[in-house]
Amino acid sequence: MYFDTYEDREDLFQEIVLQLWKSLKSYKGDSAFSTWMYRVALNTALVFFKKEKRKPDAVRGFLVDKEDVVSDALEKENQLTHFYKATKQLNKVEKALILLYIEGLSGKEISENLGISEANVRVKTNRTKIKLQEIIKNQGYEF
Amino acid sequence: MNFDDIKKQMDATHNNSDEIETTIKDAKQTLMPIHKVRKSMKYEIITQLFIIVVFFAFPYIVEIDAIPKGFYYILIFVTNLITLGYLLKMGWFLNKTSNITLQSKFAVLSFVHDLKLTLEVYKTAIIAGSLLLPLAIFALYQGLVVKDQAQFLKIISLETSITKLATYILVYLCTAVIIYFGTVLWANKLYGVHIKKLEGVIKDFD
Repeated sequence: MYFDTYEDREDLFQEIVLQLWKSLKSYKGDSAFSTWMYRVALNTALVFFKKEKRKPDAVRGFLVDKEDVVSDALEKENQLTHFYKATKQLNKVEKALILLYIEGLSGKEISENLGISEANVRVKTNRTKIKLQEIIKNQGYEF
Repeated sequence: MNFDDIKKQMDATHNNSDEIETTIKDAKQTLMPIHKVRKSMKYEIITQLFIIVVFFAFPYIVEIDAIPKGFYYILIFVTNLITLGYLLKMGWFLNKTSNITLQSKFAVLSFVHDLKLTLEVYKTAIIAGSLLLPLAIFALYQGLVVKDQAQFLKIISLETSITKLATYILVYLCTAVIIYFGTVLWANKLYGVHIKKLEGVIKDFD
C-alpha cells in the first residue's frame, strides 16, 4: 500500500525486518507482541521515504487490459486494484488509518498506536473513507 | 464500499509467504532517514579528518617560513579540536537512536527532533572549523609564496595601513559569509529534505 513498485516494497520490507530486529530488546511485554510488531512496522513505513522516480503505471496498464472482462473473480480483483490505486493518493497517515481500520482495530487501539485522540481517529477515518470513495468514483468505478 | 470484502481479498492475495524473498542478512544497511544522514556524516567526518592530516603534513613536504608555519599549525590545531569535539558529539547522537517503538506521532516527532539536533551540531561545527581555514591558508600563502616574515608579522600584529586592514577584514568577512551560506544551503539540500518530508507527515497527523 505504501509503494507502487516491487523494489520499493522489498526495500520497505527489509527495513521493517531490520528495525524489528534492532528494536527487539526494547520490547518489554507491555502489549501483545503482534501489536508491538505492528507499531514498529507502521512507524517504519511512516518515516521511510524513497527517492521519487517516474515508473510505468502498472496498475493503469492492468485496468486497461482487464476493462472488458466481467467475470466475478476478475470483478473482485478489479475492486482490489481500484482500492490500491486509490490509496496511492492518500497521505501516509491516512494510509495508516485505513490499514489499521481494515485490520479491524478499534478506535481506541488505533488511537493508542498512532498517538492521536480517539475523536481525531473517528473524524480522520470517516474523512479518509469518503476521500477513498470519491477517488474510486473519479476512476469511473463504484463498489 | 465494503472493507470486510477488501480485507478478505487482501488476505487472499498476500497468502504467498514467498512473495518477498528477503532475509535479515540482505538488510545490510538501514535506509531510515536519520541513519542515512548519520552515515553520510560519518563519511564526511572521515574525509574531514583526512583533509586535516593532509593540512598537517603539508608544511613538512614544502618549505615554509617559520613564523607563518607556526601560525598555520596553531590554526589547524584549533580546527582539529573543533572537529574532534564534533566527532564526540556525533558519537553521542549515534548512540541515542530514535525510538521506533513509540506511538506513531511521537516516533515521527522524535525522528524530526533528532535529525534537527544532529544537523545543527553539524552546521555549527563545519562553520566554526571552516572559518579558521581561510586564516590558515592565508598563513600558508604568506610562508610559501610571499616569504616575507617581517610583512607577515606586521599583518598579524595589525601594524598595517587602515586600508589594507579593512581590505583583509572585508575579504575575510566575504569568505565567512560564503562559507556560512554554502554550508547551510548544502546541508539543507542534502539532509534537510528528510526533515521536510517528516514534518509533512506530522502535519498529516493534525
